[in-house]
Amino acid sequence: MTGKTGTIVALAVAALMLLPACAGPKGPPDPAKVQEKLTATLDGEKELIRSTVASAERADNLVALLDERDRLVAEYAESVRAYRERITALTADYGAERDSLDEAISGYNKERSEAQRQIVEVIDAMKKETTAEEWKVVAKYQIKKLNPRELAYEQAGGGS
Amino acid sequence: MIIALLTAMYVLLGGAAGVTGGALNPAAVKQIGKQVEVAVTDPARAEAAAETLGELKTEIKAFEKAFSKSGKELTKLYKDHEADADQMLAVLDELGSDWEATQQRAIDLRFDLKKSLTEEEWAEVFDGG
Repeated sequence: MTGKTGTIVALAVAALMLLPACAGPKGPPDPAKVQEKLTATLDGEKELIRSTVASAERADNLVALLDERDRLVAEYAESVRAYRERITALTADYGAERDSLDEAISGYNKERSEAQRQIVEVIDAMKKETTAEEWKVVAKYQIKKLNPRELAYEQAGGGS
Repeated sequence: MIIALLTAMYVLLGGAAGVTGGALNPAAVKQIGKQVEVAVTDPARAEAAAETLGELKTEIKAFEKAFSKSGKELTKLYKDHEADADQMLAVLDELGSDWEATQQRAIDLRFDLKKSLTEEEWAEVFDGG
């Protein structure tokens, strides 16, 4: 599983990881449906950029930044998965030492901080490739459509 | 909230595993409480464990408020074409500090909870026995 498919799956997994905090009585959503919706949303995002950004060159640059964003998010999703595995194992271990838990938490916090810095830099670069009016349209779509909670949770039957 | 900003959310929703081993949220703590009620038959230890879990729930709720607040700030900054990376990172850094402090407190409470449970009871609660 490589390239776009791998990234999409990772994003879907990342979205699903949010669900424990908001899963409803109908249980977790169907991963295939989540992925299908995510694919359509990401494709729609690129189409929107092509139709919104006046310069073809800037639109190309922006699409490249979206790819970079998705790569970073997928990478970060893997870091989250590893952390959850680690902390789950430590939690179940009655004899786990405080140092081990502290180390897991501070190590993950550093990774998260670095990932956020990289992603925010991409966001900053996206803004610089757009005019204020173009960004208004792109940001509106991203905030509304690329919400993992919405992407995944509405498949499970709605809720907050 | 967009995917990029929601990476921050993993910290406190999906990524805030802490004591529970799953998502650290009030519902998960409530579930642990139910499992403790079944596993711990000694009334005094069961009560002490319930108190510890109550404190944990309070900590988590406080963090959820901070998280919600920072989410609103981030969304505003995201929309603002003039807002730069440093402004967003400042909000995220503050949230990260809050998260780490909550996790440290959760670890404290984890060891408090451990005092109330035997190894077998612990396994029953967190491992399914």
